[in-house]
Amino acid sequence: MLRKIFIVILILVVIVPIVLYFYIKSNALDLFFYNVEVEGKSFNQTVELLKKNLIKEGLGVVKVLKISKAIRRRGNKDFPNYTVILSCKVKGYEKVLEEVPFMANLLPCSVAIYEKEGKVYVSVLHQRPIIKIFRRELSEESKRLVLKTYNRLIKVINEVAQR
Amino acid sequence: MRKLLLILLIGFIFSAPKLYYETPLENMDFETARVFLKEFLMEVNMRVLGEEEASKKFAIFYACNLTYGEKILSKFPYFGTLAPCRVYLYEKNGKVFVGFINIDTLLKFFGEFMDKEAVETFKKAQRDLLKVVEELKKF
Repeated sequence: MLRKIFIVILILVVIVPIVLYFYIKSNALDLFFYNVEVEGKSFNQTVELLKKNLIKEGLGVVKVLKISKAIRRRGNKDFPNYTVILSCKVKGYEKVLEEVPFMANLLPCSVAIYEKEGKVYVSVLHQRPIIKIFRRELSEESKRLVLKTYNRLIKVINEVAQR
Repeated sequence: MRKLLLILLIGFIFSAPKLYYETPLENMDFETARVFLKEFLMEVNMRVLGEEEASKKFAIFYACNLTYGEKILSKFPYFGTLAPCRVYLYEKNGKVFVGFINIDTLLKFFGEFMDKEAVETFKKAQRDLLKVVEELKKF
């Protein structure tokens, strides 16, 4: 009987967490990054439409960083198209940063638009894992603000990504 | 359900202090730190693309090293979601703190998806940022 209890405890406390840890590691990219392929639009069209729709949705455009342009100017003419739009500078974001300064990586947000093997993609960080990590430090109001902002952001990205 | 479970587990595995690097700057006021942080970032070839004043005592520096960006983004483009690098400065209870993402933690989880060159580039970026902090602390 004791042996059976010991085996159950061993499985629950040691083996299951190890298996889950490696499972999470192998899915880490999907869990931390929201990545969507854009249909029927060129890279430049995607950038312009995203800018327009982010403003329309009230998320604003803080800065547009034409990364590929800067890198090509330095000599790497083959660098694929790459732009980052800084957005999500929403009302109340200062309070989120006061509670968890690290959230500066989410608000304002970086929307990465890039071209790879002839296809256009848009990527952003997933906000949920980060909210979970800082669940104790963030107030309910701040969590709601981040969730709401990213829901709006994902909505904009999905609308732009569709044909 | 699966995704929710994994998110909960990530929250458990990634304890908050490890995802970022933060340290106090003793004997330095916020405005002085702001000036010198920008200087020291430029000294390690991290170009400051902009500065965001979230509040009177919270500043975010958007810094970028294009050489590093060139090596990482062409092969691992999703890391652009962390670009430009945020180096933040804030004052709390009379103390000034500087912080940025802990690249070592990132590499623990994403390193296996990258090649050696990208991993080494990330490590160089971490060393550069730590050098900036070291310079600020010498003041």
